[in-house]
Amino acid sequence: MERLLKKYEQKYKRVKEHLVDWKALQEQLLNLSSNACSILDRLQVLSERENFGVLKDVENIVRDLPAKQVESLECIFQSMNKTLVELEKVSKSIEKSWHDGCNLLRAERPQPTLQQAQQRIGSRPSLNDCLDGLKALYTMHHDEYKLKVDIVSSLSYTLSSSDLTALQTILAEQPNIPPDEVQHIFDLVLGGDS
Amino acid sequence: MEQHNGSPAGTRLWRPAAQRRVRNAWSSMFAEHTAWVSASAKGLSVANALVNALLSERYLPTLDLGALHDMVNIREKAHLKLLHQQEGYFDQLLEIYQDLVKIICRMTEASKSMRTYVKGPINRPLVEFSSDQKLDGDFGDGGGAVIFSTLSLQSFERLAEELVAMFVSELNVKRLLISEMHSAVLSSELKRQFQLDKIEPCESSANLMKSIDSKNICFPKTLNSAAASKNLNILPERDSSTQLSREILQVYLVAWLAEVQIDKCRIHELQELITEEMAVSQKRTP
Repeated sequence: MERLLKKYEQKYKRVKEHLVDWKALQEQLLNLSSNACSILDRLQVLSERENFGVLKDVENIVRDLPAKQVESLECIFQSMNKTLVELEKVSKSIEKSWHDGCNLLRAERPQPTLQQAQQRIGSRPSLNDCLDGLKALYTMHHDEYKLKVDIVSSLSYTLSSSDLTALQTILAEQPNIPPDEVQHIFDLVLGGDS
Repeated sequence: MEQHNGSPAGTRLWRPAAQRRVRNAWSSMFAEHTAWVSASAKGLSVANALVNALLSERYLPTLDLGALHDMVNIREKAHLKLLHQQEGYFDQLLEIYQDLVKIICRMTEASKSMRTYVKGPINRPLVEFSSDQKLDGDFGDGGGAVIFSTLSLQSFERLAEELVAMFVSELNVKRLLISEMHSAVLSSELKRQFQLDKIEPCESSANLMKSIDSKNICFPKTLNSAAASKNLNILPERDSSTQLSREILQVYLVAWLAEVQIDKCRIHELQELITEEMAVSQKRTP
């Protein structure tokens, strides 16, 4: 049993590394989306000739400036989609850790009884705790990934600036990943040294 | 022609010299491009700060100061401080603009430095080359010979002109923006001066200046009323109704950022083209 718990600890340490990647990608995504939102926000201003002041007389600039902004916007969208692909990879890796965890338990001989799987010794987690934690971590990140895909695909020229701010906030908040709960899962399995 | 570049020996000797000059010219042009990018980015952040100071000053009279409301002269002091900030940012911006001008001068110079003229008659044992035309009929282009692998000197010059032209027109846009910022800063100063003269006797404004001076904040000379009123005549008339709107200022900042006149893809293309052209020739002539 102890040997199996050690193996689960390994899995959790791996997942922890994945979460570091997730955090970096999340930051990247936030940067990109705030850039995208500020461009979307100013396109309205850029579409009116009166707002160009003295630049009105510069050849083509009234047409080229919004065009160039749209071009940068498209670039940002592309990078956002790339970041989403990376986030999906992280969520898949966590899923794999969970599946591997399930297989570990299934392959164990003699097969642990239900009671053994639920048994907690001292402050140590039970085998089921380990598996449930992995599953919860996977579900959180998978749901969050799906939410992010929805948010990114809903960014468009027609949104008002208050909508844009709201979407930004949701993107930053990551409602599917409560940090307390994540910490709790790690504390349970890895103990104080997590 | 016949006496120098036209002859096979002339071209053979001319090529390495021309290659060196063309190589140097392009590497300094691209270096200036890098310098431009960083100077322009610095300019953007200063312009941002300047616009913020302008807008804060504009909204100051209607700003809810909360608990600070009762402090004596708080709005006055804030106003002066914002004006001072505007001055400071504008000076920085002007400095950056001057840097940009220098960058473009050096780039233009480099773009015109590729022609390689033969110095003295070709039949001397030691053929020398110079950047000045020494012989009649020598156009410094090796008679249209290929310099590296495919391009002649004229082609290199055309590409360089294309590059420089982009930056020159962007510099013009930036100059327009700076002059707009300048009049915005000056008009808010003048308005301030006007209000002070109307509401209070001059001495109180002098006192304010002094009190701020004593806190080691020194004002630029242009804030003095004499200098400001001297500038009055050359200023474009701009009262509060024709003041640059928030939107216009925003467009100005975007224009500074986006550098519409500079086609980054084309520059990248040029960079690749030139590097490739030079690299191929190196492989061929080991």
